Amino acid sequence: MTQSDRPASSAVAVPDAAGRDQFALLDVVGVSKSFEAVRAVDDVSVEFKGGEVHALLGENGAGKSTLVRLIAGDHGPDSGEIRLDGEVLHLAHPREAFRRGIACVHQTPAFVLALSVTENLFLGLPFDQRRGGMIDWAAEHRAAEDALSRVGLSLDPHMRLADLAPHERQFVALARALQHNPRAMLLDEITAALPKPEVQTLYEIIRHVRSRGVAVVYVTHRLEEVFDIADTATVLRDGKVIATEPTRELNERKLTEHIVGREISKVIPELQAATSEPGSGAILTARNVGDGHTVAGVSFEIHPGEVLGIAGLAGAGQTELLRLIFGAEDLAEGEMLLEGKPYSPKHPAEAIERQVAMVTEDRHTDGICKNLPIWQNVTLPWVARFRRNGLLRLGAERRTAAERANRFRVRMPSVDASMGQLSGGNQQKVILAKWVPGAPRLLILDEPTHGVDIRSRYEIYELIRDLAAEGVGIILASSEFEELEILCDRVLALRFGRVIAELRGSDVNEHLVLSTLLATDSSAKEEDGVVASHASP
Amino acid sequence: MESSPHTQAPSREPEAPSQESAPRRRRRRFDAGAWAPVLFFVFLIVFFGVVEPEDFLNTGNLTSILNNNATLAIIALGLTVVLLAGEFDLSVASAASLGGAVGAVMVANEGLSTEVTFAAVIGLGLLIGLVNGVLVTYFQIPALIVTLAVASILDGFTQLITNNEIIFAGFSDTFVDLGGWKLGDVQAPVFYLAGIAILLGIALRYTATGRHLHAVGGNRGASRMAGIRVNRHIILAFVISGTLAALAGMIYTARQGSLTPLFGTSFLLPAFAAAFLGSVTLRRGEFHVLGTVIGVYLIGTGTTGLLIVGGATYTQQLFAGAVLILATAGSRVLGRGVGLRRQLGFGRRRSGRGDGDASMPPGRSAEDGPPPGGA
Repeated sequence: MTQSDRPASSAVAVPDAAGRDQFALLDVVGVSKSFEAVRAVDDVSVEFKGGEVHALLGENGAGKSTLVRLIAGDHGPDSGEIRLDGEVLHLAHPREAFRRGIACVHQTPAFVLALSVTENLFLGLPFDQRRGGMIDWAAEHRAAEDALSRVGLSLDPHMRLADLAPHERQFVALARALQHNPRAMLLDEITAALPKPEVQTLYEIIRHVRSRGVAVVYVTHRLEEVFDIADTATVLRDGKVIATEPTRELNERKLTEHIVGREISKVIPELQAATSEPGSGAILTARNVGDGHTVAGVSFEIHPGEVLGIAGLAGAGQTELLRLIFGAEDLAEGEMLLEGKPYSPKHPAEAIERQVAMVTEDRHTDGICKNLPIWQNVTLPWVARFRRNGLLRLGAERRTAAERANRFRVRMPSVDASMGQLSGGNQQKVILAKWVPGAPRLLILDEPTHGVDIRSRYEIYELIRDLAAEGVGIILASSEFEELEILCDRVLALRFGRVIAELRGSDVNEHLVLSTLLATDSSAKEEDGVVASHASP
Repeated sequence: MESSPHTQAPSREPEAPSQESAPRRRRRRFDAGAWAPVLFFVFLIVFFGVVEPEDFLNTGNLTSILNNNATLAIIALGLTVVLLAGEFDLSVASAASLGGAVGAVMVANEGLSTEVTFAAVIGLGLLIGLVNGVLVTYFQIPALIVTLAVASILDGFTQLITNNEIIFAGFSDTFVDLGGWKLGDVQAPVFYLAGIAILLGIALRYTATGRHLHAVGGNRGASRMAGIRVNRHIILAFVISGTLAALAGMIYTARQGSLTPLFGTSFLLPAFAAAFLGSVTLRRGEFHVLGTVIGVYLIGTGTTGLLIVGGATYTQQLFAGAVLILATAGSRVLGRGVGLRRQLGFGRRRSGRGDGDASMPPGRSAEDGPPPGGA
């Protein structure tokens, strides 16, 4: 294999002894890109310097992802140019960008799940280790192990990717991107699925990469990450650059204002502390419930108007527990009572009949139907209610859906638009709009703000609050512990499918939740040597 | 689909146009792509009309195109329902063959009444659909395999009960009338087709079940989480398909007044071609009743026209095959490819419980693509 097949080693951007070498390694100059009539990126110029972490922020639809794709060679710009080391790039294919030393890691890395970690690591690249013209797999696996160790991942590279937990896959993607000493790294919301401790590991890797003079472009929705890791931040809004500033001159408030384009006080409503007194009589009582593999022996009660949080590290069984309550998984052990009556749904339809609703974690696999217009997504669980003489009254249905979508402040061209035209935050609001008007007694929320921009996020918080105030019982699983702190009256800490602690009142705060989970988690590792591989369902 | 990691997946959210900033555009523009098949249809008629003004463009010929393709259209409509629900049915042609064979054997050989025969054929269709549906859903066998196998088994039964011989004598008048009555020059199957198309069209658009079928075809996980009994709907789709195919086979046999064993085989490809062509007709990437009917008659017109201008029989097969590929390619390029990718085996299969594949990056499908394709 010739050297040219692999990305050039960093010949220029060697940091000098004094510290960082700060020239514009990756230079975006006046770049525009339109899709149909919409200018996704509008005359954007940004300098990404070597040895610097540069955060890219903005609401969903602000143009971040498009900009990243332009740099990665997924699209060509309509006008303007992208320069690497002063040389204009003409990228016809992402592969070319990779060869030139631009490595990209996405929120949902694309892998061939049926293949091994090693195969996925080197897929599409020439397999280097040969013996007599054949691939020397032993050597490839060793090389893979090396690459994994660089991102702090120790696992058998023979494992199929399908058997890895989501956060492990994310690190494999990172290892893949790092293999050939990239000049620039594009990290596109890669923390969205990462639990906090893994985020720390990620930071260490990023700092290390930065110290080698790489330009790191860091796309995120989480503001605190900007201050944790970024040196510079650029905010995009409506495809334009609103500001590029060193993070030390920024604060969260200022950043939010840049992102949203209004004063923050008008954006973030005063979220009052939960005022509703938990009513008497539990809505849901769970006694020693389990699904037979991931979740076991979970007991809790939830009262009207109460927001019960479920916290856990990746793969601790939160999703499984919620799906169990909703009838999407079979109840293998224990029993549940809904408003005092036995409740063991075998199918979500039975849960819905009992006025239980669930907002799922992954919009794409089980949240929305992209082939249906927005209005039909909104009414999907209740469509039978619009029947008269056996036929649907489409007009009434559509009007009702429009009303709901508007109440939930879905920003859309029209209710007839397809779901694919909405940004993630708005898709999420459609999903909420779908459930809430069914007058649920119990609303189950699994990561309701995943990949949702800040304004939508606060709108969703408000909605949750409103519902609780109306007496709905709410179960909320979130990997963002700040969210639990803002919203929850109580939090159950889950480890390996079991409740290890219950936090109440002032104990419900981000730090205590995290330390509870961490303390037990590390001791657990010592006890039984279980690593996170336990996580994948 | 799942290509190498560094041909990067588009990130989760397509950068949807920011609705606030985007000037409000007229929503529905004239969609040339979706009208292309219709224009092609018109072109075919004009072309053959110019080349063979006397033989092609006369009422007799046009009526016979209408009559001759009606049974195929009924089969294609059943298939449309299965495709809409995100599955595949390769057994429709064999179900038609067997439906015809059972009808012929019962009436002509056994001397049974038309009513009993009719009921038996309908029952047979239901059963075929039920078997297909149950194997696909509860046994989780890919529809491609199930319906291919069932097709072979049905063909075996057809040969068994007919001794693989043509049946041409002994049909009762009432049975022949089933497919033979006319109104003017328009024959019975056309009216059956019209009735079925209207009923099916209404059912798919104006009933909860119809909506659920669309949802199931779009996203099974989401449908299930919305309380839809996914498996039941898939089984229903297969039952509709099997029943319409068996019924069409019987009508075809009645109209011919004779039975050639395995006559249905030649319907398979045109039925698929018509349904896929229909999915890019008037709408983008969505199977629908009117589209399928247009598809059937486009293909019927094309093949008849080719015969009239002197093309050999094989030109018809070339034509139908080419239409299938063009339609499929067209729906990939034009449409959001809803359903198609999965049906052709590219996409994730059902995402129900314990689905190891559910975590497949969702961003890789055409419908998730950046705005040129997606928005």
